[in-house]
Amino acid sequence: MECRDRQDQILLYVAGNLDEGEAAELRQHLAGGCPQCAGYRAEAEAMLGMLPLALNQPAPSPEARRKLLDRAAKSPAGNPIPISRSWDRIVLPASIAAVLAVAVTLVAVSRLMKNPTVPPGQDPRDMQIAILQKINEAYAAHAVDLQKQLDAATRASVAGMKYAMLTGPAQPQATGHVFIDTTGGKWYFFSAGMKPAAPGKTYELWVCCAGQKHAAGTFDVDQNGSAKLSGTVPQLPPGQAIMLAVTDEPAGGVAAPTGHPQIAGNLQ
Amino acid sequence: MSPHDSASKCDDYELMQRIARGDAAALAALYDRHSALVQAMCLRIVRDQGEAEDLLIDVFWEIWQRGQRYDADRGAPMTYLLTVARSRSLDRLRSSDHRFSALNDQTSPSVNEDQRAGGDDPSAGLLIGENRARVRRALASLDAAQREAIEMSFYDGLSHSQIAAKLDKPLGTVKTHIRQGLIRLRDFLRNQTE
Repeated sequence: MECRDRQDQILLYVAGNLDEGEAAELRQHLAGGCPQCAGYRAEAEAMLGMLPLALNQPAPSPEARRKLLDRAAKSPAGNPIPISRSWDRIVLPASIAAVLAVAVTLVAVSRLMKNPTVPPGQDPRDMQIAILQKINEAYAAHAVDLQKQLDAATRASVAGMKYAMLTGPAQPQATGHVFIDTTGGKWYFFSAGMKPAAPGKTYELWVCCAGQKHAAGTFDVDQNGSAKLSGTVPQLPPGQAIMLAVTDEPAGGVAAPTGHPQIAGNLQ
Repeated sequence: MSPHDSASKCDDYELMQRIARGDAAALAALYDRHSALVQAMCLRIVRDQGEAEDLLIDVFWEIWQRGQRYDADRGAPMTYLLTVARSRSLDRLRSSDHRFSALNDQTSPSVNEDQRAGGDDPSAGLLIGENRARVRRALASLDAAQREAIEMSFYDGLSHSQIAAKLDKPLGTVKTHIRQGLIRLRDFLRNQTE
């Protein structure tokens, strides 16, 4: 069965409406780490999680709030253990994780092929031909996978996830990915292939909407041109196009953009 | 700036961290942000305002007492809150004898009736408000039979057999309604954003 054909099954499985026989087979497949199906699963979970939003929401009585806080004041929280929220543990919907995994693999394969080590005794020309073939295969395979996952991530926008890819002529090798979890009100930014900022400069991400440019944070890239940022989605006017852009700015960042756009893209 | 003012500027993840450290101001801020949604979820399941309010307090009390169990890898705090709310409400429903009365309570507003009433919470955030409108349109696009079966499954926690018995319909028909309804919901939501 093609993974695309499993999307209905996954939706029913997440909703608890799949027969046990089908559920067991699907569990096994999901446990195998299929990224496309992980995307479908994330989409289904997010969709079902949104259903209660449709309910009428009358304000609870002030008495309920008072009771809760009185109880909390009299009894400390149980066994407090700090929750780690490092970047390694940050919440990422599976569809996004899958996109990133494929993207990282693509970059790694590309780098490996560009810096080959010829084994002793092997003709360098044969090696070069083999490498070219592998590059072709790798790019073809990963491009297809990547597109599938990007499609899945885009489709996941129905369930509160929006996505933008950032590119630009100033840095043709660089890409940025912005994911906005509209339900949780969080955004996530990832870059790849960006050049290090010039001395005394840093990169700054902007959320542009209705003529306003909201500073979303500064970042510097590592040796792979990668960086990560996250934050809370600002209040934006409804129905307006949203663009994300990265500019180079003086170290420490600025309140309004002054530098050159490096990469940019529109939210889908 | 008071502790509550400070907490109210935190995102949900930060509030959960602070709650796990015993910060009551963070609990108050999380409550202020999501209590209406949690109460709505509880009320939809138990269909009794008094019980829903008790459950609302129980849900946030559980977050206070066991906040350290929250695993950010498993989902957003709001999703976690709603999962706890649904689970505790279904427990309450199953532990009492008012399932019968709840299922026969034709006066309780369904999602579709809410939509006709046009009841919107003006205090909701913009993005949540957009999602709410989208979900309401999607639910309204379903056949009445599909919506009814999905609501019984999702909110009332009924098995297919129980739904079939309640609606006096063949089991296969109920399964078909739920399957087709869920797929239609998803497809409607996908098409809305394409």
